[in-house]
This record gives sequence, structure tokens and C-alpha cells, in this order.
Amino acid sequence: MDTQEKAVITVVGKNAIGILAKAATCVADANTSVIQVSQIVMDEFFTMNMLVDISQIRGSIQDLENDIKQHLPGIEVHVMHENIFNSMHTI
Amino acid sequence: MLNTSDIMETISMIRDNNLDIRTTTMGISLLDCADTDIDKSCTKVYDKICRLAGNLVATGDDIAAKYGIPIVNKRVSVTPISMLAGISGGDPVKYAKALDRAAHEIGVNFIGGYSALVQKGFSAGDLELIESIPRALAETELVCSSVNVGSTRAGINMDAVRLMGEKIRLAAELTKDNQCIGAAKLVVFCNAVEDNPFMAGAFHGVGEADHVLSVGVSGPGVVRSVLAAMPDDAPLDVVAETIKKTAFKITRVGQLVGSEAAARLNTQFGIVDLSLAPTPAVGDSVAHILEEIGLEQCGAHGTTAALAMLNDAVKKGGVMASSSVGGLSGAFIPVSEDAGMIDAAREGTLSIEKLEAMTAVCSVGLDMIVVPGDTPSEVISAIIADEAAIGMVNSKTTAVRLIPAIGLAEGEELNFGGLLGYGPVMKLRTKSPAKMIMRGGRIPAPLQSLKN
Repeated sequence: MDTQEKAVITVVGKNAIGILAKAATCVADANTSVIQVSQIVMDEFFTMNMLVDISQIRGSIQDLENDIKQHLPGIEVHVMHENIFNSMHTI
Repeated sequence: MLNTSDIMETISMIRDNNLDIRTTTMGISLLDCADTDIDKSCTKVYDKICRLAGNLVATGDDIAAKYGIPIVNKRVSVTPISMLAGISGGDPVKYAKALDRAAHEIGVNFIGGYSALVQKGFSAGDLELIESIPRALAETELVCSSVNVGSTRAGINMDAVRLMGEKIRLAAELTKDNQCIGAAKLVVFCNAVEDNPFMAGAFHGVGEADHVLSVGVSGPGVVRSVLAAMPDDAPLDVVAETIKKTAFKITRVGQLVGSEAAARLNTQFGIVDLSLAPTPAVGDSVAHILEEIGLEQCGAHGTTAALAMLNDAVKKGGVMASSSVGGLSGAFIPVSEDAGMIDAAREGTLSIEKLEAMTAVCSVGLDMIVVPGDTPSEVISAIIADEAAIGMVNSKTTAVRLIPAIGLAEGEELNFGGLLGYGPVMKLRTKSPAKMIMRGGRIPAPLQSLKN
């Protein structure tokens, strides 16, 4: 039985050096671990989805989102619990 | 891993298209609070609401943060107060004040259930409660009131219809210095449902459990944007299918939030009510969905057909997504709460007659319509009777929430602020239905066979 609680982090914005590194540092700082990452860079735009294990998260999902936003100014960041995607997109 | 386009779709629904949980409503039975001493009864009512719903707001905020989806309103609905008033006697407004105090204490934004069910006749407490409604709404801030005056099985109680015309007018008069807000918190139903989480018509039916948590989801903006992305020549069955799929996704969010909230509050999960409930915010309008389907403006010929399709597709998607769909589920058409409807009413495209036709095929009825301040009470009663007749004959819920704009004439506007919105005074017919309304009595229940 899968007891992990997961969240999805999405980062969309203009590509720049260190986006992934900065996001990953915030993830580690919040005591969450990366399970899977997919990223696409098209022209100058960067899109990344990161699935993280939040069962041991320090603080809330909201705190993590704010922390990443602070480190990546001008870039769109969303952190949302995985359940919302699963319930919406699976029958 | 989840599909990137699914992730982006969800995010854009919430961030760009105003997908939200419109309300988490805790229904609380007050039957065990009844006492022959009204003051004792009020104390028990206050205590029970604070005890059970004390954490409703905090839990809602917590879940909203966890899933990143706004939960706009937290509300409480209670057993129709007329039942308690019947046992205790005394001035029912005391109950209204107890409800209002409890609502302020726990931080909810409305509390519903200052209600009476009189479709077939008045029992102890009913008349006293109806008599007190205008005063209760003027003297409290968060209490909402509703009265059920008809049903398919019982017919229409025309004595109650006559009374409610007077009470709506009086509720507006008593609050004329505050945008006639009293009337905006008062709904008259035919075939009222017992598990509706939406205000102002929510009450906790006697057939319900002691306490349940129900959820109202909305998302007209989401439906509109999905339709906007479709080609203009897509056939209507494809449009309906797309609405259905979107409704499914929206309802799923409601189910997720509702069951989690119920578990955290240690209560039973009631129902998900998927109603496309507009807000005055741009991009959150049911009228704009109808316009996206292909009408130049809401209220044009074709509106009823488009709305019928929309309402049905929403229900179908919702039913598939959750095993406990209930409440009103469908598309709401509250004029003052919908940017597109407000525009259509201002331009005269949307008339009260068209709205009446629309209520025959959509969820609920003539909602949040501002009428001239000099409208006689029998005209309001007659509008209630017309609307109740549509509900009674079609076995559906219909409702009337009219706001007589005391001191204003046709063309002027009332502004309630917030979700209740603003709207122009709409034109009514001026010939008198007084003789019919004064007859009183009952319109018998309609035949259920020979339907043509």
C-alpha cells in the first residue's frame, strides 16, 4: 500500500540558469524529496513538473510554494496536492 | 506520473477561470434543542451550532491551503426554525438573533434555516415565523430565511403565497436604508430540497442526519473557457458532451474537498451540489456560457434551449463524478450576481418573462431580481404563484427571490456588494392580479398522468 503523500510542483516561465537547482533546494529545505521530474525548454520558455513526497514536509504546501516563489521571482510557481489531479482526471 | 496537460488544465481552471468550492455548508439538526421555554431553546441552539461547527471555518481554510483551491464560503444550515417556534411559542425573532450570534461566533458568512414548510397548510409556529421574517432579517445580519409554499404532491398554498408577497415587500421596506438587503436573504420555494447547501435557501431537512457536511461547487468560468476553445461550428451534441466532461471534473473536486472536510470535522459527508453559480466577477458568468454557445446576448430567443442543454449536461457530468450528488445541481440564473445577466438586463435583452421561461428548464428560479419599489405585494405574490406553478407542474424546484427597490424606479440600480452583486430595476406588468391573490385557498396538486 502506498502511504506516501505527494504534491505536484509546476514551474513555468522564462528560462534562466539554475531554476531547477533553486526549486530543488527549496524542496530539500522543506524536508520533502523529489520522486520524479519532467522538464521541457521550448525556445526561451521553461516548463517543469516535479512530483515530490510530502509525507515528512516541514510547514505547509503553501509555505513551500511561497519559498520557491521567493527564490524564483517572475516565474509562475504552483504547488498542489496530488489528490486534486487524481480525482479530477481519473474516473 | 501525471500527464503534463492534465496538470496544466487543473491549474488554469483554478487560477484563470475561477474554479472554486463555492461553499462548505454544515447542516445541523436542532430538533434536540426544542424546549417549551424559548430562552432555554435559544441557548441550546447557540451551543449546539458553536459546538459542531466551531471548526468549520478553520478546517475549510486548511483544506483550501492544502489543495490550492479557494473555498469561498463557509455556512451553516439548520432545521426549519418554525418547528422550534411551534414548541416554544414566543417571539421567533429570538431564534434569529441566537442564530446570528452563533454565526458571528464561528465566523461563517451566512446561516440558513429561518424557515417554514407550509405547502399544504400552517402548523403551530409557521404563521408566527412567517409574520416575523421581515423583522428577523432587518435585525440580524447573517440569517437567511426561506418558505416552501408549494410542491408537486401538495399543490400550492395560496394563503402562504399571499403572505409571502407582503413579507418580501416589508423585508425590503425595513432595510431600505441598506439597499433593501432584507429581501435578498429571503427565498420562496416550490419543491424545496432538504439538502441544498446554497444560500439563501439552505435549511437542514428533517429527513437528514443529525449533522452533515455538504459542498457546493461552482465554475461557470471553467465551462465558458472550455467552450471558448471549441470551434464555432461544433455541433451542439459535442458542446453538450464537453460541458458534461467539464462538470465531471469540477464535481470531483467537490467530492474530494467535501469528504476530507467531513472526516476532519467528524461528521457525515452529505452531498455535492454542482451548481454553476455565477458571481459578479468578470469570467464567472452563466450568461457568458450561453453567449459562448452562440447567442449574441443572454435573453435572446434560443436562450431557453441553450440553458436546458447546459443544465442537463451539468447534471449528467455531476452524477457520474460523485455517488452523492444532491441539492439543487444545475445552472443558477441569479440576475444581480451574474455580470452577463446584469448587462443583458440593463440593455433590455433580458426581461422577466424570458427569465420565467428559463426557470422552467434550469435549476431553481427567479433569483436576485430587482423590481420597482412601488410594486404592490399582490404582484409579488402573483409572481411567486406563477413560479411555483412551473415548479409544481414540472416536478422541479423553483424559487423566487425578488428585491423590491424601495424608493427606486425602473432603470435605477441597487448594489448589495460582494457576491450578491448589483442590478437594475426590471420592468414588471402593471395590471393587477389582486382578485386572484385575495381569494387565497389552495391550488390542488396536479395530475401525474395524461402528461401532454
